[in-house]
Amino acid sequence: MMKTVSPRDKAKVKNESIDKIRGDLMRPLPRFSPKLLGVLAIALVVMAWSISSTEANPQRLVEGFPKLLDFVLRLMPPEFEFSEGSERAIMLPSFEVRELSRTPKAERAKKASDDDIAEMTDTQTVYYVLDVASGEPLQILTAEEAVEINKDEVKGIRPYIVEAGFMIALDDWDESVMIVEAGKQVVNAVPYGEGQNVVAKRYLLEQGEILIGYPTIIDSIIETIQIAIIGTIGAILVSIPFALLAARNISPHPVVYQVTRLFLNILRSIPTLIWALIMVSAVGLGPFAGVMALIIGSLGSTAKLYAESFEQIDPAQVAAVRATGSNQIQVFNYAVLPQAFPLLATYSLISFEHNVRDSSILGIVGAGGVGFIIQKYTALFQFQRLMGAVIILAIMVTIIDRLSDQIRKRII
Amino acid sequence: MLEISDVRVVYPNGTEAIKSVSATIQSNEIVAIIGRSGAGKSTLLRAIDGMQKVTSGSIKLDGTEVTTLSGEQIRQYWTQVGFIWQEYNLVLRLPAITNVLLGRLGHNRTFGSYFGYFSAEHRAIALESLARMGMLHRAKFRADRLSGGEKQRVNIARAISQKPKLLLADEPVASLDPELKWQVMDDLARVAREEGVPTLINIHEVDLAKAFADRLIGIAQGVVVFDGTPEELDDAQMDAIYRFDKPTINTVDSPEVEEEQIPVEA
Repeated sequence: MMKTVSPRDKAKVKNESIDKIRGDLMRPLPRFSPKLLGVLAIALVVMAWSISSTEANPQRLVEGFPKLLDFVLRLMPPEFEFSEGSERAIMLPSFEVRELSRTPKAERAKKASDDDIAEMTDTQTVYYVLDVASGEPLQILTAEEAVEINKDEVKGIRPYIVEAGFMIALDDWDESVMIVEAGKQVVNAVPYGEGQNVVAKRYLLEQGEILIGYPTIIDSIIETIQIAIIGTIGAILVSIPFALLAARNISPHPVVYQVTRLFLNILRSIPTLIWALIMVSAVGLGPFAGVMALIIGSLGSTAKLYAESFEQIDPAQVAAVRATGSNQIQVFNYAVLPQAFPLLATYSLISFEHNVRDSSILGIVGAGGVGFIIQKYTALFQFQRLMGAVIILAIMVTIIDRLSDQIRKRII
Repeated sequence: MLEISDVRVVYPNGTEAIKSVSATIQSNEIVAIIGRSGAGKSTLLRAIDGMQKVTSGSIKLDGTEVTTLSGEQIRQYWTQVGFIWQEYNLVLRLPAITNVLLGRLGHNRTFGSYFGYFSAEHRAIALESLARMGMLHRAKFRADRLSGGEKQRVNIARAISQKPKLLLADEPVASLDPELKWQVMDDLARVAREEGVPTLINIHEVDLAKAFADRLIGIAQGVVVFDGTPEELDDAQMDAIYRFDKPTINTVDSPEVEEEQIPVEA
């Protein structure tokens, strides 16, 4: 191997005496040469120019802070939209899971009249539902408690008669009054829209049970991950030929190298979302458009990173394998690929993580995945649900990042 | 038999690395090429291997002209030449046995050979090569886990697994410690004799060269200045090889020179 010394380095070596080099290296602070000051000045000008156009202004940020706070408050508390029919009752702490019937066996209670109360038998009890004011939650009172309420000060107080062993319960969502067995509670699933109607499902739970279900967002997140997996694998397969052409040490000709790099640069400059739009018009709405968008969208960066990996290999090892009389493909498989493998694997996993995040916005243009739901919540101003979706999305992305970290540790 | 006649190599930048080198190396002959760094030793070896184009002259291995080979022909030639590198140049992420099997790639162009499959015949040759270098116990180790001496032995095993007709070693022990140099040179000389092929070894250490080679070729400034047996190499010859541009220190045999009188410059 011949070591090449650039003319500039040679000039440096000639002009600088040993004492000067030693003196420079021993200085506590770097010397501020006119050149360095010039570079700093240019950096400052570029920064000032950038600030002038982006209207970056700390004062406006401070003034706008209450609005920001207001928005954050609208996101709270997070709410999870459950998938229809997925609800189960779970007993804590035994984790006993019970299937719930679709039609709850809770009867709607009838309001009792004064005559009814007068004719009550011994086995019957009267309870009152107190409506303090609009917007306030309803309360259930016993007969003794109801006596102390001044009817003129409240919006309404209604009596209900129940048999022994039964109790009245309130449905928080539509404020209907139910008759339930004593010890049971009425719990609502999160209401969801079905066409123009809003469906609210009501379940009767035993004491100590809680209602669980799985949020609808999980279905879309799984679809998002599936899109990312197929998109990444596709991008890897398509990237390798391009990477070979775009690697300086492998490319058959400098012109091929330049043209491939140019092509990849063009691909890279177009955002994945634009590719998704193009693909939706080509293959229609749905996850396949998302997969195609990811393949083309990540091809530009993946192929470039692969090319960098191929360029970083030790040429001496390649020369040694070539010197055994191996042909081109053998040299590639036995000398280039094993050396580039750790970087290829790392970049593939990074590309996958990137694609998971990318594919979560593809749904905005109808290319499948979680983006569609997020856009729906945003458009309907359902900010609490948006927050719920974002929380679950963040958890899933974190899990995937951790998993891919583990895989990376294993293979390198 | 390797015949080198009047080989001249000029690099594209005008440097004349080899002015004129001629030598004939018989089969079963171990030849050490000695000379200073930059004398043209490596260039000569690379020219013999066909990795370096020669400007003029001819190199013949068993009657086949090497300097004009290209494409598939040179690949075919390379399968017959075992090259031992100073820096081992093993593929570090592959196990030792696979590195030795790389020497079989040129003889093995089956579909499986592209994806790591080698038939029993090739594997037997590779294992035998490792065994001859005493490295069988490291066969499954990844090359980057081997020590320097082990790497060089695997490197030699890779070269002999090619069943070469010519062995070339470029500074094979320069990166090893003094004790290992002798052991590895011993192993290299032993397998070279077993193979019975012309062997050229570039080497810095003259005592090693004298101990293991049948013949020494001294190169200085691109020309052969010495060609003979180790016994024939005397101090005058050494000066011609190593100190041609300096006042002859070795030949001055009057220690009573008045050193005090020599003005010492600051």
